[in-house]
Amino acid sequence: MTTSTTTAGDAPAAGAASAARKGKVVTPPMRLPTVSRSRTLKGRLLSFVIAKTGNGYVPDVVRTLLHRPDLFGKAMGEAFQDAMRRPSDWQVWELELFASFVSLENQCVF
Amino acid sequence: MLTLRPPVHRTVRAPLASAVADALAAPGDLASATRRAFMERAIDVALGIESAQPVPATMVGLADTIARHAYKVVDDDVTSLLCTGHTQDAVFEALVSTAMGAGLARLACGLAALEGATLEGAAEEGVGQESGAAGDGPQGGRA
Repeated sequence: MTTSTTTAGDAPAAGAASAARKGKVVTPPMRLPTVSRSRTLKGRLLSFVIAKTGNGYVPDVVRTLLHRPDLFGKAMGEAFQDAMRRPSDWQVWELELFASFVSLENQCVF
Repeated sequence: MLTLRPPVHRTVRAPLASAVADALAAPGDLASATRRAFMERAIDVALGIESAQPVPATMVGLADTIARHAYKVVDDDVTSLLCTGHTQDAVFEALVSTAMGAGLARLACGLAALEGATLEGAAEEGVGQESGAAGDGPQGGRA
């Protein structure tokens, strides 16, 4: 599920064209449009910061985690953090490589 | 060489349990029991269990597709659900529950394989030492 960087009220095509003119990354909208926007102020602020630092691009997985963190996001993020960043015999890059390999096997963009 | 530090797969379960609890207990359009049904169905389908947990009929197709091969989901699968009257929140909750169930099933398979591999590895190591010791004989003899 991916999303565009258009602002509320913009037609998707117009937003995409505007973003392209500004050199921003243009991605397809989310299949569930509501997931593009976080329900929490913290989530919206994080999305804003990530978009600002990522040339307008917020990864779909981030949008999904920020949408309703009480349902899916807060605890899941902690589980990801625990699995991927806790002290381990594996280096971070090795863990990331494992994750990207599994995503590749699942035909899912990592 | 791996040390004896507690393996990640043994300690990651507590955070995952919290994530599952959140997905089932958080307020939403779908009842907690329905979300649990989606999660359990995904586990059943992913593990190939024939009598899978029943879920609302209109969502069976998408739920099973996600459980088996999520990459085959297309835009129409989601828009058709919205056209049948499901809210975006309900669909999101169903998708999250199903995806978590599918992930848990894969985790269970991975852990089972890891446990087997650990035991087999230990057994092979023992066999290797024995064969190595036995192999020293002929080599020593040749030398």
